[in-house]
Amino acid sequence: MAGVTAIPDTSPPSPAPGTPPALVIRGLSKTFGQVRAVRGLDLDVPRGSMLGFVGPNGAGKTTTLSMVTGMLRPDAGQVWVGGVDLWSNLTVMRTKIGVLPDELRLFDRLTGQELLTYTGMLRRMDRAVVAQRSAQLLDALGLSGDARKPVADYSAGMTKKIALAAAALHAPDLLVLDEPFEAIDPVSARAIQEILARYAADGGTVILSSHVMDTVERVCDRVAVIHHGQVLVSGTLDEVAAGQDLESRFIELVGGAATPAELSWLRPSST
Amino acid sequence: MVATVLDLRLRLFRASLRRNAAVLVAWLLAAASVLAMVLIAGASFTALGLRLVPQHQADTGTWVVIAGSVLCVAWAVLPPLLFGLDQTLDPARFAPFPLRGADLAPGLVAASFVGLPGIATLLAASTTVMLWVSTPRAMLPAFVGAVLGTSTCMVVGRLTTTVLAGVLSSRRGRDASVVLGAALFGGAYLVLVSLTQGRVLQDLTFDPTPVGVVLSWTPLGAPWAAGGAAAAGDWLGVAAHLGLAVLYVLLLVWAYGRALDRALTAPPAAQRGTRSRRDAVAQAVARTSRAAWFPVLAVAARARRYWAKDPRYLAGVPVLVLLPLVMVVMSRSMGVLPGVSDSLVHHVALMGCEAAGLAAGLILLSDIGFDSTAWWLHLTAGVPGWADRLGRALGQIGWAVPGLVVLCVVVTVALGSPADAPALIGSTLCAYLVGLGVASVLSAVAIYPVVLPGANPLSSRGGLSGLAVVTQLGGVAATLLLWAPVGAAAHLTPTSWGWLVAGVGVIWGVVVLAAGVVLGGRAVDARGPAIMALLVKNGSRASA
Repeated sequence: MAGVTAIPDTSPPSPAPGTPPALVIRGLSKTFGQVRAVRGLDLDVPRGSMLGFVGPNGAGKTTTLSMVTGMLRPDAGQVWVGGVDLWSNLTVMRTKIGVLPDELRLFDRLTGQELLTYTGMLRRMDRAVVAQRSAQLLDALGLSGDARKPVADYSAGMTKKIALAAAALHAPDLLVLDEPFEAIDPVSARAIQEILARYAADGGTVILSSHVMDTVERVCDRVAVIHHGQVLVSGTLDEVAAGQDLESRFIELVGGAATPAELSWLRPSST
Repeated sequence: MVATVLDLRLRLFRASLRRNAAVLVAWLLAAASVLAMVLIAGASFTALGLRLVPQHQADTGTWVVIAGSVLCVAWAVLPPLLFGLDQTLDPARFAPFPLRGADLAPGLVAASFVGLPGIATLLAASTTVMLWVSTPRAMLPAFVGAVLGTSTCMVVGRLTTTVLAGVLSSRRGRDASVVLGAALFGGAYLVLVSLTQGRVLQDLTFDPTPVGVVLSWTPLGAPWAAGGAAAAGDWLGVAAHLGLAVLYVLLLVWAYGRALDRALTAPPAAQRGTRSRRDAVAQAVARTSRAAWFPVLAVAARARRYWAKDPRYLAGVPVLVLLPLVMVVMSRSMGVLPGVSDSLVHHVALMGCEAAGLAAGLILLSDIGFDSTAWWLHLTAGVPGWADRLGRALGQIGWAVPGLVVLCVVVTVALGSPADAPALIGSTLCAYLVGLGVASVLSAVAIYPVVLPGANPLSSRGGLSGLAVVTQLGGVAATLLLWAPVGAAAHLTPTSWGWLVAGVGVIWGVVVLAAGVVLGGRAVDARGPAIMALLVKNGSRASA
C-alpha cells in the first residue's frame, strides 16, 4: 500500500521444525492485595504467529502482558521466550522482546525523533542503524512531518504510533503490543497491520490485546480468550470461533451480556 | 457549593488517614506540635498583654499590623516557592463540571481552613487577641480582625499559586519569571549585604509607626489594625479597618475566581506551541564511540531537556538561591547575640553555599519519581542501573557545578572575603557531589509519590508521606556525615590552604558519587520490576 516503506529484514529466519515455540506460559499467577488478577495462566504461542489476546475489562490482560515482558515479577509460574526462561535470563531476554504498554507514560518532552533515538541508545544499538530505522518507521507510520515536535503535543493515536515504532526499533523476536489499534485512524491501522503481517511472515511473533473482535479477526491468525485471570480457550481463529463470528463466540464464552436495566430515561431531555 | 467542597475535603482527608497508618502518625505529630506552639504563643502573648502592652499600646498596635502583614506575604510567597500548596482539591479536577470560578472560589478558600496549615494560622492569629487582655474592649475587634487576616492569608496563598502555575506553564512566562526572580534575589542580596556590612541596622533608630500606618490600610495589614484602634478608643478606625478588610477579602476571592476560570479552561498540563527541535539525544551520543556509554549520554541529554522544559524541576531551583540568602540573614541576626565571634558569623554566612550544594545534589532523590511510569522504557530496554544513575547525575552536573561556583564567588565577594572562595568552592562542590551519590543510592531504594508529569508543579504531593520525609531526612543526614571531614577542613584550616581543600573536596566528592552510582546501579538492577510496580502505584491519580 502507498506510503508504507519496507522495514529492514533483520528478523530471525523462518522456523525450522523442532525450534521451540516463541512463547510458553505455565501456571502464571499474580495477586494484588485481595485481587487475584492472574490465576495459573497457561498459554502457547507458536513462532511466526499473530495472537489476539482478548478478554473483558479486568480479565488480567495487561497484568499478564506485563509479566511476559519482564516488567512485573510473577508470584508464581514460568515464562519461556524462544525456549529460554525469561525471569532467570532477564538481561539477555530484554533484547529479544519489543513492548508497547498501554496506559504507561512516555518521556513526552522529547520529540518523536528523539524518543526513537533515545530508545535505540538505551539499547546500545548502532547509531547509523537507529537513524535509518527510525526514519523508515516514522515514514511508514506517517509521523515524518511531526518527528521534530514534542511527543507531549501528539494526539492519542500519534502517541500510540511512536510507541509502536520504539517497540519495533531493535527488531525483536517477540512483539508484545497492548491495545496497538486503540485511537488509531484506519489509514495508520492498515499500515501497522501490513508491517506486522510482514514481520510475522519473516518468523516474528506478535501478541496483541484488543477489545475489538473485528480487528482481531482481520489481523490475527490465533486467538486466546482470557477471563478471570485464566485462558478459557486458545487456538487458531477458526478453532476458537467454532463456526460463529468471533464477537458472538467471545460473548458466549465470557458469559454474555446481562440484560440491560431499564434505561428509558436515557434520551435527550427537552429541559 | 461551599458546603459541597468542604464535605469533599473532609471525606478525602478521612480517606487519606484511613489508608495509611504512617500518614495518621505524621499528622498527629504535626497537630501536636502545632498545638504546643499555639499554647506557647498564647501564654507569651498573655504575659506580654498583662505586663508590657499597657505601657506601649500604640507600638503594640503597629507591630501587630507589621507581623500580620509579614504573615500574609509569607502565605503569598512561600507556598509557590517552597512547599507547594496542598492540592487535594486541585482546581483542574473540577474542570469537567459545569462550574464557574466564582462558584468554586469560596468553597476552595473555605477548604483551606480545614488543612493543618490553615488551622495553625487561624489559631496562631487568634492568640494575638491575648495581647489586649488588659483592655478587654479591644479583644473582640482584634479577634474579628485575626479571622479576617487569616482569611486574607488563605486567599492570597491560593491566588498566587494559581496565577504562578499558569505563568510557569508557558515558556515565555517561565523565562520571564526566572529573570524576574533572579533580579529580585540579586537586589535583595545587595540591599541586605550592604545594610549588614555597613552596620546600618545597628546605628539606625528605627521608628516603625509610619510603616504600620501605611500597612494598616492595605489588604495585608487592614484586618490586624482593628485591635490597636479599639484599644485606643478609635471606634471609627475599628469600623474602617474591619470594613476595608472585608472588602479586600471579597475582592481577593473575586480575583481568585477569575484566576480559576482561566486555570479551568487552560490547565497547566496543556503545553502547546513548542517549536520543532533538532535531535538533542543524537547530538549528545555523538560525543562517544563506545556503545557502553550510549545509555549514559542519552539519559543525560534527556535529563537536560527536562531541566529546561519541565516546570516541576524548575520549581526546585528557588530554594537553592534562597538558602545562601537565609544563611546570610541568619548569621547577621546571630551576630547581635553576646559571645558570638565575628568569625563564627562569617562562617555561618558562608555555609549557605554548602547547603545549596547539598540541596542541589539531593534533588536527584525524586528523579525516578518524576519519570513516573515512563521509566518502563529504561526497564524494558535493559539499561544497566549504573548508566541510569550516572546519566541523571551528569545531566544535572552540567549546569549545577558552574552555578554553584558562581554562587560561591558571589557570596564571598559580597561578604568581602574573596580569599575564602577556593575552600568554599571545594567544600560546596563536595557537598553537591556527595549529595548526588547519596541520592543515587537512596532513590533506587525509596520510591515515594511526587508531583506527576504535567501536573501543577506547585502542588505538594506526598508532603504527608512518611517515606518521603524519612528518605529526605536520611539523605540529608548521610550527606552531612560523608561531607563533614571536607566541611571541617574548609572552615577550620587557614585560608592559604584553600586550593588544597578545593582539590581534596572535589576528589572525595567524585569518589562518593562513583560509589553511589555503582551501589545505586546494583539496586536498580536488582529491583527493576519492584521499582516499576511502585511507579505504577504512585502514578495513578487516585493515589494523590
